Amino acid sequence: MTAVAAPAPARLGHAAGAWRAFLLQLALYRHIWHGTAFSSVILPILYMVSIGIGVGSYIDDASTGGITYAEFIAPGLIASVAVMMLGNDMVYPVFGGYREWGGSYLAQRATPLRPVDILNGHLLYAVVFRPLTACTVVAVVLAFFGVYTSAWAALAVVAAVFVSASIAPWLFAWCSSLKSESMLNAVFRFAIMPITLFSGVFFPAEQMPGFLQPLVWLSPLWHGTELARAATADVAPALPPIAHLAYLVALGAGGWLAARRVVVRRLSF
Amino acid sequence: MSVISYGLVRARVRPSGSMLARNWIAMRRAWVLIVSGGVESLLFLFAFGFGVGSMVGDITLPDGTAISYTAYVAPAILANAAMMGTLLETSINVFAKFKWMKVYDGILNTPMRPGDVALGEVWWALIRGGIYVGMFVIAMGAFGLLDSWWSVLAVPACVFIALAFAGIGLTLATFFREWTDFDWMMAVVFAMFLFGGTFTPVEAYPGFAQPIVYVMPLYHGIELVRGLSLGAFHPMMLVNVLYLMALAAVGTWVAQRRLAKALYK
Amino acid sequence: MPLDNEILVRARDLRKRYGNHEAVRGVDFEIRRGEAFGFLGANGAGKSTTMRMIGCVSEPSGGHLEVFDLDPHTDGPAIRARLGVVPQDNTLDTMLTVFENLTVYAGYFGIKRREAKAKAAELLEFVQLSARANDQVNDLSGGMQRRLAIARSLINAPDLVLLDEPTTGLDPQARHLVWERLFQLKQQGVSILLTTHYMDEAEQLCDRLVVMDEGRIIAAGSPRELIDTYVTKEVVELRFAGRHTTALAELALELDGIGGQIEPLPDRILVYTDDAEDTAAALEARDIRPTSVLDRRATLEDVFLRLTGRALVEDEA
Repeated sequence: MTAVAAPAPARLGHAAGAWRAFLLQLALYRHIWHGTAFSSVILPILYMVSIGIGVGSYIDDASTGGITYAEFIAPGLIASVAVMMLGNDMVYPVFGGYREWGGSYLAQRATPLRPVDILNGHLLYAVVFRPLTACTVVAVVLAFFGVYTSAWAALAVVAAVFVSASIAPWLFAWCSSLKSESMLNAVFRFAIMPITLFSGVFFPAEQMPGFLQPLVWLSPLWHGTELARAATADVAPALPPIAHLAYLVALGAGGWLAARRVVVRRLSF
Repeated sequence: MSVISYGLVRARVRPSGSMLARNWIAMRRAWVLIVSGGVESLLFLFAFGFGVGSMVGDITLPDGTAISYTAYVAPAILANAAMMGTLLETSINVFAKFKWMKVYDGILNTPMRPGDVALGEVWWALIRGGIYVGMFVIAMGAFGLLDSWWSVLAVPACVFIALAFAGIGLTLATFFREWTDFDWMMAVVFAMFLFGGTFTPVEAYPGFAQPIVYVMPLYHGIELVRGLSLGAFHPMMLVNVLYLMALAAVGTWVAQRRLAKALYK
Repeated sequence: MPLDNEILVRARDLRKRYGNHEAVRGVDFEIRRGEAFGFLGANGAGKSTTMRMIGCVSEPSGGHLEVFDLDPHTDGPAIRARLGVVPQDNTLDTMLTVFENLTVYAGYFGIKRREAKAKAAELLEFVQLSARANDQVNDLSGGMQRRLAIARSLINAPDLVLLDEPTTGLDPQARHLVWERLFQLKQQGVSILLTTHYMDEAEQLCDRLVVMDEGRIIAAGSPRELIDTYVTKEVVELRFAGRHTTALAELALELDGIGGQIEPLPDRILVYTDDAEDTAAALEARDIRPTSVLDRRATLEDVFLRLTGRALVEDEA
């Protein structure tokens, strides 16, 4: 349409496009950070006090493999922050991005950004920026509870980033294809909540009934918690670390392909 | 005399029934959404009651009796279910009807008064809370957590919790300005859930924290439901009931005043 | 028709103040049974506020108001039970279907379900929405939503229907359909109170009207009376190719004495007159030859602009 008159702009590289979209997300974040501070930072610490210390005082170390209960749940809390934050960043903002009342994708689409840039920019924000900031804060605060065995605990934050990366694109794809917002709550009830509660964060996954075990193995948070616990408490993970990582990366890559398909379909006019 | 007062009550309550009917008709297509809300409490029961509970084993109460941790936590999560069912309905949904969909603007052009609207919303919230409570009690029974007939009394106890949080939710709905305000409400609700005596006896808390807990409405609900479902009566339960009823009355009254002020411009 | 002179609404020195701003500054009027009464005025003139006070959803700040001989302050519900209201923004219930909007609304009046269903079907027929009975409200066009709101206002067989700008924002076809229905209501003897800023609407529908400006009533009467009082029977519009604004203002001075009042506009000159033929002859006699001459009946628009001035009244919203 305008190509006739305007000089052909230099082609926008994928990295540059994603970066630009990321900066836009960052600009939005400056308006909402205080609202998300609770779920991302304060909530996990409250969990640590109420469940980790409070309930933990009734739990024998033997049932958590010889470490204290607070030490047992700390890594899982760090990793689950990543999952809970996706509930903020990858549900309503994605669904609303295509709608007039939210509209951030529609607005970005009106710039030279391609749909895939918008996807990558949002992922960069939700998968890298958010966990690296929030999970780090949580990890540092939890250090005051004396729940780490070594400085390697910092790697728990990296595990959280991988958990986030494995789930975020799937949420993006699902929320991008929804017609009605009534299903958005279902994401919390049937995905985020069960994943947070039944991935071996608060109690060893082996205590789940046998027929539910395969579901635990599917949960990205279980893989992430195993990795994070290896980092903070020096407990051997269920599988070799590389296997846990490989699963998370494969899940994330599959999700990205699915999300790309949906976003191109939704934002190409 | 009683005939007259019955007629009076009927005349006062009947318009609120029309509000209830409206909500029933509007939401019956979305029943899956409502029922699925009850699932959250069940997930908490499984995770903390059974999952964590199996690691704790038995817990010794302040009075010296020992019960299974699962039986200890379940009534508290039941109280939480009653709270969430009514609070979400009266706060978020009423806010949406009030500020976004302008449902009440249309209704107040009819003989309905703000008080009728508020009361109708309370009835509806009670039904939704009742569905959550019912689902949870059935699950408790199925997992053998109802070991005496006293447990049945937990259900009417939940009505007090539901009424209190219906009042609170309605009032909040009239104060809130935007959706992010609900993040803060949920923050307080979750803090109550974690520290209102759900998971550990309040007597085990540090001394400075205890008075804060005693102010929490959910704490009173938990005490009431837990006491009844364990068959342990206590005169303090009267205080619990009175506190919850006071919240219900004040909340509903404040809400209808504020609705009237906002809508009768 | 029952008791033609029964007074439904009586207002004396009625006032409404919002903080420092007085939206209604002492108005007097009476609305009788069976008539169609109009509030005519620009945005912010105080029409809707007055209507909300009659509808008992806004408390007057001063003066006296009686609706159906009742006091809105104490008998709000009883008054509203006999009113039908079509608010400016419809306030339809978007979570309900078209049909449910009527039956549920009937419930607020305490109408029994069976009766409500029969009445709802009948009213949908009346506003030509029967085919959309089970659709969601949001799927309806603006005109359909307005017709549904009108049907809803009739569910309790009201003694008086209040319509706040019934056709604002509708396209011409939708507008005419609404007028047709309102006219039919009028024929059936339903008393109507409407606010509008459309002159043609007031002219078509109102038996009597008041013109409001800045919270006051500045004129009252039937459309014909207002025209006779404030303007002449006819208006001659003169256009002069190539001349506008200042040039026309100068030219207007030359027209002095022809017909009644002369009003230069940026693109034409209006000559108010009781006899257009005389005016044409007078123009010829003075050798003034406009490019086009249009004579038409004076309308309420002329009255309105005459009374409130041509300067744009700032929207207070």
